[in-house]
Amino acid sequence: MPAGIAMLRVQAWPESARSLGMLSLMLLMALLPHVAHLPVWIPLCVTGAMVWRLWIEVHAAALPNKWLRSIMALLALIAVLVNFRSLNGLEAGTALLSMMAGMKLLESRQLRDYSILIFIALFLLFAELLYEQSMILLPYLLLSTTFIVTCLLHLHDGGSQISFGASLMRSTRMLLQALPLAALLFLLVPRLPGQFWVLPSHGAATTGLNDEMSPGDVADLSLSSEVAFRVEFQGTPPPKSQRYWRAVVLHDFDGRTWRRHRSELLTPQKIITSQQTYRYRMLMEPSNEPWIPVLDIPLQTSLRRSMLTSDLQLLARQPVTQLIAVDVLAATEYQFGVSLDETMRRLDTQLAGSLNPRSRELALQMRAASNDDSVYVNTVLNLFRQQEFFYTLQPPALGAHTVDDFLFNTRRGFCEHYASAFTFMMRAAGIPARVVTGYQGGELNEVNNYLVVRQSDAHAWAEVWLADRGWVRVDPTAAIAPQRIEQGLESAGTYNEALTGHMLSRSHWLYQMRQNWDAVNTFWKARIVNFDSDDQRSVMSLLGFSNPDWRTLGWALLISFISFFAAMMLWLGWKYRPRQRDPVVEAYATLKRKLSRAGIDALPHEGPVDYLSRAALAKPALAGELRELCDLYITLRYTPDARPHLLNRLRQLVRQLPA
Amino acid sequence: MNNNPLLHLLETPAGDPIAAINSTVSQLSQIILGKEIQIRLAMACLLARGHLLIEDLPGMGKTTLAHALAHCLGLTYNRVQFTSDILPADIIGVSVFDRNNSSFHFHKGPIFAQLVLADEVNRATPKAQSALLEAMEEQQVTADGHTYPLSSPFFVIATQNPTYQIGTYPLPESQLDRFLMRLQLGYPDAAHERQLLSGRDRRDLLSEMPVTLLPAQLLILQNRVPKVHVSTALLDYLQAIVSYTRTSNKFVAGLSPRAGLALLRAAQAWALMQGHTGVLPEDLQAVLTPVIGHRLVPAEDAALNKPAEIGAHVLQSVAVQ
Repeated sequence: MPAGIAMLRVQAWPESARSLGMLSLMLLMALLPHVAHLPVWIPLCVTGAMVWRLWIEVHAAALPNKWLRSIMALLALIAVLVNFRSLNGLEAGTALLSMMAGMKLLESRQLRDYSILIFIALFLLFAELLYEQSMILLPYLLLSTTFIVTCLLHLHDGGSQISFGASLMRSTRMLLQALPLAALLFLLVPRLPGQFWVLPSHGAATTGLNDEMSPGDVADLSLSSEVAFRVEFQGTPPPKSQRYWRAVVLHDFDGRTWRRHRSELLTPQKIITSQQTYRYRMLMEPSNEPWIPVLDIPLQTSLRRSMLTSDLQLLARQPVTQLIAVDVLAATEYQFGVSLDETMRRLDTQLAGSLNPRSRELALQMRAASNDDSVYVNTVLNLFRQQEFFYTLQPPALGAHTVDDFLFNTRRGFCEHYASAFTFMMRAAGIPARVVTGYQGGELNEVNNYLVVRQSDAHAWAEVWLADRGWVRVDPTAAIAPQRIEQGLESAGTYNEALTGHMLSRSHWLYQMRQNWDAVNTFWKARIVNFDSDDQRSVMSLLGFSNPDWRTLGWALLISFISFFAAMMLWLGWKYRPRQRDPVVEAYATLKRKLSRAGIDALPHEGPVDYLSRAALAKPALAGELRELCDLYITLRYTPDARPHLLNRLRQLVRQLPA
Repeated sequence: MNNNPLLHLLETPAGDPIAAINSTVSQLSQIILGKEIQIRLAMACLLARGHLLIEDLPGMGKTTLAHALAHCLGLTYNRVQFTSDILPADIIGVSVFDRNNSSFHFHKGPIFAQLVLADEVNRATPKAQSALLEAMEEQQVTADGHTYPLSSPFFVIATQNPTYQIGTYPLPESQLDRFLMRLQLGYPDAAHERQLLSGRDRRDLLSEMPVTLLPAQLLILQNRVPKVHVSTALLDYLQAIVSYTRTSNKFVAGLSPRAGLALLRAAQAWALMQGHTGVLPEDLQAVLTPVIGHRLVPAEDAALNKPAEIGAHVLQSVAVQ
């Protein structure tokens, strides 16, 4: 038979090769979720090792010798080190573990090695949870875990003697039995407030907000429908046109790019708000950035280790690398920054060098024609409104004088272009102005009343400082494409632009599906993944413990575990209770035990007459008692003459027999 | 001197059959020297209404045992020597035309006796063998449309040469099953052999011996055997033995239900002879080898050759209940 063909005939594999095949399949299952964040050579190497190992087993070839294995392991180590420049950290760690699993396979030949492989597979599988904890992963994890546990059971049961189906039944039953314990641990293990550990950033490209904005560069706006955050309002949410989620404030402009100010501005600001406030809880997806989008003016937040800058950006001390929940009290009608200090004024009126001369000239002309600043603001907005400006998501690139080029030539753009041009026009007229980026709108899911804000809701607008009114939000995009603000991005495109993520909303049925799916997802994220000490407290108060501390939780955990295992023991005790309750048999068993202690063991096939005669010969002192015992026992057990008083006599004699 | 040899039986208490059996056994032991266990087993077989197969080399005392048994129990006795040309009619009888009455008259064969010795049964053809075995099974003989009941009690002792001797037709397993027990007499030990060699002729000795158990008494005892108490514990033990032979890989096939029944009857008979009011595990163990030894065919790799090995193996493999 040509080499290689034998490997394809799984039915004809030897037993050991089938075990190894099962282990390889199991490793592949554990590796699969990591393929997305591991360099491609790692899964290839591991798969290669699997094929090699199986080939060896099927063809009864020799395993690679110790030197070759050592060299390969060293090479794998160096490769990981070169690729990640470290052996530490999540990615380098999983990479190393995957490679070593492949290496281990090459020296596995007995049950002990198989067990190690199985534990590596479990470890790899659960390492995936450090990357993401999405609900969609859950069935896969459950399936893989079941398979791995089944492999463990199957191999330890001796493989061929038991069918794989039987092992599967058994492992499923065992995992189901473990479920109550898992639920208990989930509910009762004390949660530390805040992040339990800070995950290292794993460099995933973020599709969210940036801390700079360059409207001139060729950039198709990314229309990712990925969720940025979800919000649950207490009471009615504000109308869509009022839902401006401020995230980043851009002050510095070099003629092409808007950037954040190099240092944070921390002068306290006086804020006056109306009575209308909104209380909400936000579940924010990891963004790898420190800023937290908030509905206009945050008055209170539950976020620990955070700060509010004087331009009202909410910044976490560390980048948000995992799902967080923040409770916020916010206002959408407000007045702040009425008194503007000189530093701030200078910062927000600076214009880089001599770029965009035509726009400056236009700004000065228009300002001169206006009575005051607020009239000038409207004049500029009217410019966008009345002249031929278009809203598009695929604008042409702009030249060196980006604002000039946009205002006088292309006249096509999206929110960034308008916000940039507008702010420039304000500054050119000497009015303090800045660009704010964040999110606008969000979609209300009727299924669970959550507001879902996606990356495609990212938006940019301007803030203008007017005397007596302080900082005022002006959204020039609303002037050119009001439907963008009223209805969302989908309706704003003037060209026939394919909004892939949003095609879904065209079909009512698909729309419903998506809403439902998102509701389930929100539940998963809010109630399961983000189950924190507050949730724990409310669950415990449902059970009658008001305001439990970690000590109460610990006790509850301990008591639950003890009762769980006590219940298990009782059940097992009942299931395997001794069936033999015949007092005659028990008395005879006691007799045998006593004689056995005296050195006279009963053979299993020895009848009572034979045994007790032998005992009487060995213990002449007890011969009389033994003879009577024998008579009593055979009478009670084998003849129709059983009488209660004989049983009592038997028991009495057995009791009296010296041990 | 009393002329009636049976008169002394009237002096024994009618309700003490065990004494009668014991005296029979001790009397037989004077004829067949040193074989008391085999004699007791033969008695138990008779009490359980079974038939006995004695398998041994020629000259070991098979015929003498049968003859002595018939004599001591006062049974009518016929001996049939099986040869290769024996016909069924030679065993069961033949119809002869009676010229005086102008009709056929059935001449009963040697099977019409209370104790029949079928000597060297494996030398006959299967046809003759099956005529005997059918009569054993049915307790009656049918010839020319007439059914003739056999005598009661009816006890067949068949002897058989070891099958490796030339000119034999070994009984098939299905027919071995008709015999309740199979015994082997074996060589006597030195002391008993000396006694045999120095003593008088056994036949003369036998003719002087009195009858110790009347056929009527034998029938009473036979009726009492199935009534010996069997406890559930003993049935558990018996079933464990039977099921062991069926699940063990040491045997080609396990014991049949008929074999289980035979084991129970033999154990009851043994218990009766021992004077037990119920069957003890030891009673069952005593009859185990002769009852199952010829019913089990050991598997080729089981390393069980002799019937005693089979019995000991089964006995030691099953725990007493």
